[in-house]
Amino acid sequence: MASIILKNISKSFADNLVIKNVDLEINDGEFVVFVGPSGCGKSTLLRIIAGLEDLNEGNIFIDNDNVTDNIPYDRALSMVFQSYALYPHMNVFENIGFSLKTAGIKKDILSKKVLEIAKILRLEDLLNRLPKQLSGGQKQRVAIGRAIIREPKAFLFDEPLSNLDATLRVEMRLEISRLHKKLGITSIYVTHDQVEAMTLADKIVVLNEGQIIQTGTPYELYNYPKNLFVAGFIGTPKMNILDCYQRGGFIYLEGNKDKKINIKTKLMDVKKIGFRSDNVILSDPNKNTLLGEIKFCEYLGSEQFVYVDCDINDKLIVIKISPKIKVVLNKKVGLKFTLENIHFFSQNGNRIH
Amino acid sequence: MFWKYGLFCSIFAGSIWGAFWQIIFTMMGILTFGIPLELDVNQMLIIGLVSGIFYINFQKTISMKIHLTAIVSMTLLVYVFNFGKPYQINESLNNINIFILIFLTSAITWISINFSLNKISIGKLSRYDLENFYIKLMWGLGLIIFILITLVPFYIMIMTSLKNQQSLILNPLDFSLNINSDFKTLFNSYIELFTDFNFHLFLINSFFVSCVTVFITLFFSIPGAYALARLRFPSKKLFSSSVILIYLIPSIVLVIPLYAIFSQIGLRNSLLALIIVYPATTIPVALYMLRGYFSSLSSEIDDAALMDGLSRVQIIFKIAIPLSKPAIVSVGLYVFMIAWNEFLIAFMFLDDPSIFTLSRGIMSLNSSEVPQQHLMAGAVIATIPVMIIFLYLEKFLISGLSTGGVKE
Ligand SMILES: Nc1ncnc2c1ncn2[C@@H]1O[C@H](COP(=O)(O)OP(=O)(O)OP(=O)(O)O)[C@@H](O)[C@H]1O
Ligand SMILES: [Mg+2]
Repeated sequence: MASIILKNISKSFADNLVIKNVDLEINDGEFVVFVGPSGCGKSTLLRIIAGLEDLNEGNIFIDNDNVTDNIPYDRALSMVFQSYALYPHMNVFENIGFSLKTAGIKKDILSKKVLEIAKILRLEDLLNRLPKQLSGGQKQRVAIGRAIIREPKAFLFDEPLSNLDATLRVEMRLEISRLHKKLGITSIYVTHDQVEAMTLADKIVVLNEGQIIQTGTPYELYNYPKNLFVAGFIGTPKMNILDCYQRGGFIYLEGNKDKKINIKTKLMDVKKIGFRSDNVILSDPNKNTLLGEIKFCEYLGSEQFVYVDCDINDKLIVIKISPKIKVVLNKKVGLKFTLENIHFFSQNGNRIH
Repeated sequence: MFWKYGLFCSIFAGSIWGAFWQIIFTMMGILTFGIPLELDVNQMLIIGLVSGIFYINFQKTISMKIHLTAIVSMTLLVYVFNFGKPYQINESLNNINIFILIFLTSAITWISINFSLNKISIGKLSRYDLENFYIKLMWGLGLIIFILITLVPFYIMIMTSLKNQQSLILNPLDFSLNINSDFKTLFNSYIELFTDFNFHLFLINSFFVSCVTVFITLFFSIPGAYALARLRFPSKKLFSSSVILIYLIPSIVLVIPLYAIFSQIGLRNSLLALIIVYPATTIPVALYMLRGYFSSLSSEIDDAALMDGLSRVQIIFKIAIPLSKPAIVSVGLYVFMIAWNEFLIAFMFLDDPSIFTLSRGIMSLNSSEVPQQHLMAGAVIATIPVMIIFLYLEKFLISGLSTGGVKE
């Protein structure tokens, strides 16, 4: 267990600067999730922490020791890779026990530990199999086993579940969550799956183009996104973001024909307004509502989303409604905004408080 | 289009197979019986054509009996065409051999027709059947020609090596084996090579040089290839491309300066010279081949090993080498064959008969005093070890060991 501190880290591949002055503190026992669009440098940052990539600038501290120049093994971290990266020529037992064997641990202690881990991960019956004889989920469990056996200071996960099918992913997600609760080891987890990020994280780090955009708990990121990027990135379905301006306190939506809505604010310079699908109420069209037409409907069983065309620059507004409502397409409806949880953004995309 | 119809396919396949096997079997007849036979392609072409048409019409009802009838009638047709005297042979002595030859020709032609036209209907063919038919035909012809091109010279080589001077002069074309002669006369050339011509030394020398070359080559090229495949270092691009450039320089260009240099340092007439020069020529290729294989392995496995506490050197031994066994075996085999067969440098460098390698030794036989069958026996001795090693290692060459550890 350990705290990890990154101080002013930069990394470039040839001329391509992929990590730009990143500062980050990860507390002891925390579960931190890195999210961000593809190519933003999540894996690179993780590999820098692991010691698999050297860095151009900055320092890394684990438990207040400067480990910047240490080799991966000496940092005492372990990593679970997206491709599992099991040793193909070793069976499950050897794969899990490999790091202990390398460290010169005695055979009987080693096998006792491997069996213990195999029990936790329900791999007891598979110990003699080669990786190619395992299913995706089993391989992933072996990879996790290989990571825990060292009792590392922290776990690093690089999209560990992205090769699994949906049901298995949910199962393994719970498993990882359970393991973290049980072992309490600091974990850093890279994903671009929203649900994984929200459910697993104590703290989410949103990255874009090699920079940290915002860090915070899932609650903070969802409810107080720092700017348009985070607002658009966190939460499914995506937050509705519309161009607007203010006149006489009221917000007007910009479109083919500007529309006044029932939101009033004292904030200045509001240029964009954002609201989630559940902050709008669908009603019959009347004077105090924004008029629109239902264009699409997504029925998900426990909930239902409708996409409404309000004639605002061809943008559809997504609204969550009760799954019990029978939706008629092209029906004229009225939109009424709840007054909480409306996000205002300035011209440059930052949140206005 | 006429060539899209099954009927045309049957005519095409039938006549091609007929003519093809006629050529092959006439050749084989000449080689085994040692008598000049006259080649007549047309008769079998026509017989094959008729059989093809016959087959495509009756394939649904075909039985063992019809197969036999077809082959026998094809054989009889040959006799009818030739008025009972196929190949213009008059001596009744050879008639049974000739009959067997013609029967085999007919049988193999019929079987080939069966394979080619299997499931082909007489009318217009679907695209799948059509492509299948032509590809199968080309594939079959290509395979057989390829096998014959490799096997016939080998056959001639072995048969010549087993003959004595007298029969060779009597009829150089006769490649039949005199089964009645005893072991000693049959293998006379081999015995003489090993007793009078030091071939046991040559074998040992070749083996020694080749094995050491393989060892040195792998010793340097495995770490080198790993570094090129995995590590980032300055001028890597330049280095990896110049490696293959070195290989493009023909050895004939190198051998003269090398001759001068090695003469001056006094190493020329020694096996050590070969052991220095051979790896220098094989390492670039080995490096190139192994680098390709190493890059195809997932680098995340290496990363995992780094996390598990291995150094790069340990990774080479515990991860990279076990995972690339097939590639390393094939590279080793390839290097072994290059060293084993190398002639030019050995010829220029070695003067002392006690340190001759096999290829150099065979060259020394090439004089008017040494009979031709000895030369052939020498060639056989040079070929057999490589073949044995190849057949033995073949099972290691099957790749796919690395699948399963990473996602596909
Ligand atoms: N070995 C490398 N050499 C050169 N460029 C690299 C290398 N590895 C990564 N990059 C570049 O660094 C940037 C960040 O890559 P990284 O793998 O960290 O992205 P990521 O956020 O993990 O993306 P994804 O979600 O697709 O996995 C990318 O632009 C990539 O092209
Ligand atoms: Mg990645």
